[in-house]
Amino acid sequence: MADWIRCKRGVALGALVPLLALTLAGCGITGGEVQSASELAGDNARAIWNLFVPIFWLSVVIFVLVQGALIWAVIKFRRKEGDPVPAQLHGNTKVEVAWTIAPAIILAVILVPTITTIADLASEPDDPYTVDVIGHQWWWEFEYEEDGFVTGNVMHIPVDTPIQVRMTASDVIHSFYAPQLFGKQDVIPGRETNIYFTAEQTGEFYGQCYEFCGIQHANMHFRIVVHEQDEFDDWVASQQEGATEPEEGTIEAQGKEVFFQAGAACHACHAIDGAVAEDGTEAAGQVGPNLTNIGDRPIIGAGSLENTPENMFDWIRNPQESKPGNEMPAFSEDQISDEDLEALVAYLNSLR
Amino acid sequence: MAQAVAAKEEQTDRWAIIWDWITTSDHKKIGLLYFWTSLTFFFVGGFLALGVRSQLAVPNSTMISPDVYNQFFTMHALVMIFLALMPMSVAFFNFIIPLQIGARDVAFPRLNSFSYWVYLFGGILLCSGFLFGDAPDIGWTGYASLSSAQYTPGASGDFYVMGLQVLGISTLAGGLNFFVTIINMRAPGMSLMRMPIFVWMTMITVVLIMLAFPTLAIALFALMMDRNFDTVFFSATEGSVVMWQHLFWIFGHPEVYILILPAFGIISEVLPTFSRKPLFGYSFVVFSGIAIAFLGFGVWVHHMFTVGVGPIPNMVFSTTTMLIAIPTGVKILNWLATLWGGSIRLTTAMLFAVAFVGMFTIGGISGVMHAAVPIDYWQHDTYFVVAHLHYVLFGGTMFGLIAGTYYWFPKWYGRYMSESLGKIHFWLTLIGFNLTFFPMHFLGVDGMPRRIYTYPSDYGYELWNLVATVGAYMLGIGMLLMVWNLIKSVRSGEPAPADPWDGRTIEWTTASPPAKHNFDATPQIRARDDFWDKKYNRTDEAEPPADEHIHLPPGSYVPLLVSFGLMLMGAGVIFTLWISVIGGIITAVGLFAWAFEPND
Repeated sequence: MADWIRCKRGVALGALVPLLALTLAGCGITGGEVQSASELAGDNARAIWNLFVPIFWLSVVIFVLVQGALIWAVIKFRRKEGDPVPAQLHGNTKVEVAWTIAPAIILAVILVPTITTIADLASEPDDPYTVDVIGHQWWWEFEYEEDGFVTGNVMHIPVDTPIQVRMTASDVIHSFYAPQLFGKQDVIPGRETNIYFTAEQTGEFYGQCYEFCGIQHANMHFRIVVHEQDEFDDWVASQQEGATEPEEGTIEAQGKEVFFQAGAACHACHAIDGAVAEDGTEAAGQVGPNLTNIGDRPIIGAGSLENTPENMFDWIRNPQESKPGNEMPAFSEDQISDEDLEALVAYLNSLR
Repeated sequence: MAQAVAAKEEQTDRWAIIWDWITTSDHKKIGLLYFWTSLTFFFVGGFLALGVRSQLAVPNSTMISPDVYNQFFTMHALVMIFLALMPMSVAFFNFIIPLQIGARDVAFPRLNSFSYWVYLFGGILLCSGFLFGDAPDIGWTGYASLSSAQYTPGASGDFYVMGLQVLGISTLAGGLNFFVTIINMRAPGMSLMRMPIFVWMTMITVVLIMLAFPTLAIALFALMMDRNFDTVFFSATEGSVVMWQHLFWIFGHPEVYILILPAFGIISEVLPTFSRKPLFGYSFVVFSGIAIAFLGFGVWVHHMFTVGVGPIPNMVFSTTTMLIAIPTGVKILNWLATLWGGSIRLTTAMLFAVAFVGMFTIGGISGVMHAAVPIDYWQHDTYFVVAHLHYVLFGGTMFGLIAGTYYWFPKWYGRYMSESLGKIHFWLTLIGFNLTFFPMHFLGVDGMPRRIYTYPSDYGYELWNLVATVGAYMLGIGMLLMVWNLIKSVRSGEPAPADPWDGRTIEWTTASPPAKHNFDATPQIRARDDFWDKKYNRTDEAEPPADEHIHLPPGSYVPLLVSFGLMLMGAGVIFTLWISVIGGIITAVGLFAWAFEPND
């Protein structure tokens, strides 16, 4: 027992060392990942990070001081055999007033940049390019009102241009957040909320829903693709043109027929701009994501799967497999045969 | 034949003991009922937590279905907050407050028993969703419009609403009871500024309860109406989905202080005792507690910074939130100063109390980070917040409650808990806790959202999730050791005297365990830390003669009956309304019997 007590001082220090090691390891390993708030690519995210860094170092100083004093006190003032009763010190008003004021000053120092940053992030830039976001259980709809088209789950924007993300939800509350570009903002049914940011570099950025929104909250990812302005203009033009019409006799043309046929009836839920069946039916469904450029998107099912032909096949056969509880039904071989499904996948893949 | 008679007698004996516990109005027995019940629920919540951690150990895991996962994380929070931590604090209120203020019992003993039974039945009602495979799965915050009948059809939302509604009655009744007890039943000479700090923190907590819980009751009532009777309080089109969040957090933030203040009180008793020094800056600690409670009602929007209430409200609530860090910081420094220059004995209780200061500080620091609104635009609803809240509620509240358990156990049972087991428990818990929750800060930086049942493999979340899961199992083993220690010590722990720790407050003057009437003579209080003062400064003081007339409240089964009726009333809203009618009749009959029960 005595040995055990004696070795405890070592253990007390031993507890702090792994904690510090863990912290350092964290600093080394954290960051650089696809959805990390420390990899900055937007002015909005940069403003947040710039506020965080000084507060973080201040926190480290306070952390070390408090934990150090705590462990030091416990080691230094450990009771030894025959120690007298210590002085019964009840307090010291001067000291206490001092350490009431000290944190007040520290917090005031933090508060000033906090308030200016809140104001900065809330201020609307001049003449921003606006994208409307509508949150659905469990996917994202992006509407380009000025340019007159709609897309889903992958948002395209130009670099170095102020963007206004104007948001609402069709069902429950969601939250829109791409950590490398901007801070999050809730997406609320019956309300309009906004995010203002400028992407500082081109590339593909990850984001997802951050407000619990039901059974498939985990698979409500999105991507933001940032282009150079001319590349973006090309993308807008291709969106406005609508879907590529497959050449007759090809497997894609067969897939287009499957899209409209009774067993599948994809058009009941999904839109493809410009796609019209032989009987004149338009693909104008509004339940699921617009599929006009589905072949171009890196993800299926709001990030449930990577967009490969094999995954698309499996997804349509049974979306409940990789995203249980989502709104899209499974399609049996009676509804779409393997052959038809392959054609359908080829058609969807051709929509770029 | 004789054997059969003996067996029968023993059986009646056993029934007599059970009947005694069911009908008891003795605050000590009710305290123990609260303690063991809340500990049981703690393990229910812990089991759910391990389910969550097991699922998240590896990416793309399919161990638990998303539906069940959502029930697990929702029920984990509800069970831990409403059925484990809060009632365990109430266990300490019950056993310790009357002893610390020199009273025979609480002000309303039958109401006290009622609080316990409502808590038990409410807890059963809330958890029974699992029996129907339809436990609440909407997050403990139950945000509209996800909580509406349209988006959460079925019973799960109703278990949430009615379970919490019934539990709230228990909490409110308990809050009222302890407020009156502390105001009216203190021993002669115990002025407010001579009360032990645990009594002070309890009083502040129950004031918070009385002010905050009615808001929750109203919000739940409106949600019940929306779900069951087609009202539109929280409808996106005709009502407001954001209104729920305001109501919920006007309750929810004071709730955080309801959870932490009792632990503040406990460690403010433990640290001085094992440092052999009075609490440094008693009045600063008291007034900072009051300041925290007051400001606690003015910070709720910091849970809603990303809702978009506007830049000006965000600035205001950022300021109030930072203000509340000041009294909290003052407390931490006062605890450090209490240790400073003391003569420190590292018992298990003391180790947990010291660790509380360290761990709570980490939670406090990360709290100031999200008080800076733009940082919250990043950290909100990520694992950073999960780390923060567990440093406050586990590293804070739970460490405090464990410290209190080791500290007061000798008073409860007249036996010590095993110190050697206790120390293993401590180190497993401290290391397991930090392994579980510290890496969650890193996951938050890397943008991992909370409340997701799985994550993809290419996001860099694998390592820290696995570490957290290993830590969680370590923590679980540590807590099981505590249970083993408790059971072993109840049966065969080393006998403890009335004053096992050289205590400072008057609960240590009475026998361990205390007699049914607590004190032979009503204590006369002459100083703060009266018992210490008596032992070391007033050694020539004569013991007062024992009181001649001791009035103790009789037992009663009526509170149990009324509680059962209330549970049925709640269950009826979930299943079918005629159950509510039966419950209503039972409640009414019970209340009638309560009013006319002879009281001597």
